[in-house]
Amino acid sequence: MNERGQVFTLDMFFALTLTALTVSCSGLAFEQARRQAEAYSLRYSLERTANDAADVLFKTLGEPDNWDDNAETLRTLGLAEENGGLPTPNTVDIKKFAQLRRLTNSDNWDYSANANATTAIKKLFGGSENFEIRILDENDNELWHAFPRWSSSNQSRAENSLEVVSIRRLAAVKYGSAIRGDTGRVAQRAGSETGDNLNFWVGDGELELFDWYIIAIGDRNLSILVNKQNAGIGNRDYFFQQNDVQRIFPTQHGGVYADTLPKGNQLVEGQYNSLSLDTAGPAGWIRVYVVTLPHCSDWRDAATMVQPSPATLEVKMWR
Amino acid sequence: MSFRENKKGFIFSLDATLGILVMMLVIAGVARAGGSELTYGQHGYLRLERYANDALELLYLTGNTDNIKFHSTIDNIENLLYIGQQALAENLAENQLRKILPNDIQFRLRIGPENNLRLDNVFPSAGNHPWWRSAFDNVKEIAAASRVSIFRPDNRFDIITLYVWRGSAI
Repeated sequence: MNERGQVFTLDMFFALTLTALTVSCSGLAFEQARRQAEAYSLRYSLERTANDAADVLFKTLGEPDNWDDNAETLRTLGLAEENGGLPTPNTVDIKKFAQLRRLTNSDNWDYSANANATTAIKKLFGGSENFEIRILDENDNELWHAFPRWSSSNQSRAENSLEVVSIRRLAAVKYGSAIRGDTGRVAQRAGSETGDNLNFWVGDGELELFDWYIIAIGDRNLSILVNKQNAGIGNRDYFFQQNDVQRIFPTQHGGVYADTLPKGNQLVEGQYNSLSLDTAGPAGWIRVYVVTLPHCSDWRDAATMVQPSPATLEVKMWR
Repeated sequence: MSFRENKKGFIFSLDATLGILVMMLVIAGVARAGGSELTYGQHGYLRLERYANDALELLYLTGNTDNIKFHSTIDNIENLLYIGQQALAENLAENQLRKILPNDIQFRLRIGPENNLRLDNVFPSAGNHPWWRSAFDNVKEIAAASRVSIFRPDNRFDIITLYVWRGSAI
């Protein structure tokens, strides 16, 4: 037998090379598939959590239903408006969003008295603090945002993350709960009329929680006095002219509380406040609203409270 | 099998070639399984579907207040149809849906069954209906949402259907 063993044949060499290649390729393919599957499942869970959170936010009232009256009692976060005891899907209650902003800001997020509420908020996002909620207007401009430890000078860490999920749901920002007082449409005869009042309640802590604005609509001259009675058409804190159509008072950041109203007729917490409304001019009508916006809002956003407007609720989550 | 018998090796056989081909296909398939297309396939369509449902819901939630009561956009459309102002109803629906939906989402709104439409040709821009109709017919991925409403004067139930798809405007 002058033949060499099978292990030395070229065929065997090819076979071994092929086997080695196959094993190596399979290993690489398996590793790649495993990594992709892992990335996919992580991405999927992030997407799923953000999607579910957005659903819960604008379809439920939260627990308890009126958690915005005492945010420390929050057990489950929900931002929908209430209508006859039931949530109105696809709406964002501005009062609840204001409370969410208060709870998440840098002063309150780590405050021990808010521990239960912040835990409830985190629970909605799978226990993570890596989330941001934004309300955008119909032109995609940001109205308000909230994320853990936000302040007027910082941005969320979503900008620095390589993996960010952004869920956008269409919602209506309805005026309902943001309007704290409404005269209704008041028809008036020609000449001057005095003695009309608009009373509205300001709860404890609400001057810090909200910015307060007055919106006047109509076609009569209107003098508005805050917490002062029957001072006459010449005395006013704010003046609406008959051809103004619609005006917001005051036109400055912070609203009525931050305004330069004289001491003695600024808003007071824990009691009814009143607007004295004196009118003059040809026969016509007026309507006055007192509206609240989440603290630190742009004063121009007060106008969106009068009509229910299309908006976008954006939930961002990241790793 | 050896050189002395002058036979070609296994690697050159048709079986081996086919075997390698099959193996490569399997590897490529496995590698693709977790790819980004699959992620889009599951979540991208879900988002489109939610845009359709949310936008239709917002037609009921947004509208105007006439100092006495709130009128939703759908109420206003129904009223315009009732008094025979089809063109105004079409404009109102177009404008409101354009406000509600993002710019990269296009839409078509239809009220009534295909053979007896109360309102059609509600597309993202006024006019250019044949162009939009063609875009609608040719789009690959489309999501729809429906609601039933009562319409005057015959108080008949009719379906309001909103179709949305991703695409650029004219």
